[in-house]
Amino acid sequence: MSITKRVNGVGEFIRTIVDPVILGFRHLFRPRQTIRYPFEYYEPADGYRGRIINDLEKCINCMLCARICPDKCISQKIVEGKKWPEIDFGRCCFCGFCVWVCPPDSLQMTKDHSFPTYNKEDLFYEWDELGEYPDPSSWRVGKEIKQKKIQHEMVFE
Amino acid sequence: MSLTVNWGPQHPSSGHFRMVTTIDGDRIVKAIPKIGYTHRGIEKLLENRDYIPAIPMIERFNMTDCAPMNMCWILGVEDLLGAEVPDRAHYLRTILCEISRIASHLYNLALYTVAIGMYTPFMWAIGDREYFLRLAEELTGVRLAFAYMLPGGVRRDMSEDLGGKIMKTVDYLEKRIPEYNRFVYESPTVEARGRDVGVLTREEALEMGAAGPVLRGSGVALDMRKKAPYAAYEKMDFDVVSYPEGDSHARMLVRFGEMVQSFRILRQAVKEIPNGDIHAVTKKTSTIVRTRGVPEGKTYVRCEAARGMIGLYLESHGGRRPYRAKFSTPSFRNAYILPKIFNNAPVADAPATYHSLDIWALEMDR
Repeated sequence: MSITKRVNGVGEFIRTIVDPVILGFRHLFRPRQTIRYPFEYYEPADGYRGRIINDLEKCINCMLCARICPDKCISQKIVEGKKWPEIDFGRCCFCGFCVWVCPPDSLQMTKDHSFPTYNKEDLFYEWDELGEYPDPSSWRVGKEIKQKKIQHEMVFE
Repeated sequence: MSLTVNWGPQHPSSGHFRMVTTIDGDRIVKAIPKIGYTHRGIEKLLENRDYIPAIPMIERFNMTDCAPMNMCWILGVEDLLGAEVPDRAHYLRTILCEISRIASHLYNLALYTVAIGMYTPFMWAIGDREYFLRLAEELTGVRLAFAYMLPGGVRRDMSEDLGGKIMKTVDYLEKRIPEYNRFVYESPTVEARGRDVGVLTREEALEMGAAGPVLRGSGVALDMRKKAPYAAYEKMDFDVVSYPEGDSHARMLVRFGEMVQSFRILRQAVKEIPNGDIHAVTKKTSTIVRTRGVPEGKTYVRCEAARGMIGLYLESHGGRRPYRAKFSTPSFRNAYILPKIFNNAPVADAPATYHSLDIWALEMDR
């Protein structure tokens, strides 16, 4: 059905054209909803499921994490008679079941969500590499978006 | 003279989906959906998975709306176990399901408006969806693929300030409703593209087994949240939205109405959420599932996803792995409607009609 049949009279027809323009102008003065990522960032929520680390002092070498992993991305390495988990982040889906199942809570998830590499092999983290806490500067790139700067945070504030 | 043309899977608006259309002039005479382009055999793979590691894979049915997929699986496992779930976990599940539903409906609004050539509502919907993904991130730790529910409860408790954040986000979206109404749903341009296009009558909808907003858009007010309540829906006060017209626009209105109802549910859930445990006995039920599996038996459970009723037939012969898991997904049933719905419609209406059904090809093929 054509548009003209849906509009009652000339007045409404003109309003269908003018109203969006007015709304567009109003939206010009609203805060933007996007962030310019490499220059700005916002902090992920607490408890964000990012890169997994392993506290080597707490780990009891039970390997329950490898058993529950849906992607089979956790393998074991035997060092001095003890089993240690190693994670291939190229396969990991960040479901966090390994962290959930860990009896001494030695596996933890950090806020690190950006660790790109040039080689696929570099995503494989060996047992001692998992023990290092990630450098926050890897995801805190540029300046932090403050409250009320983007509309998103304004809603929450 | 008619011409047979493939619509998809490389069509910009089709998704991972192919439809063989026979075209006469610019009219679609016949349309046959070809199902299976993204078939991954998940149901077979589930037979080789433990019950809990299966959850991330089940969520891959539908990434935009993954909480109900998880919910359905958990309902099945809990039914076989006879597990008790604390009230707080029920409420948290309800909150996540509604967040997921709103995000999914906004995403569909974005796709539909792009299909009819309006890019502003696309930006609005995607921008507003972001707030709900952020809420999901605060609740579960990730924006998509939550893997949040476990047999016997949920994985994480809600932080104290999250309730306020949910309320504020809902407030903000409710303020946006008049804008959406004026410039999308009541706009003559949008109505002209959606009214009397892709009409599915009530009888056809029932005969073809339509699901979700497609069924309710044809005047059948059937919602599993009302019909067979699960989680905390029994205690929630909400309406089932349905429109009798059965055209593309009615289906979009149903989704919009459902979003408004979801706001109501979110408000009630946040307000009434009881204190207490979030898991039956800390980690115990899920530990039983993890170590000993579930007892022998078979069950059929249903729950309401954003796209319609999702059913699960689960059969266990004991042990840690299911013997058979069969999902009945709404997108699959809605894909059956495609041959009926075009009915000599112009080719230009095909993308809009297709997106008004909200078929998610990955969920359809499984």
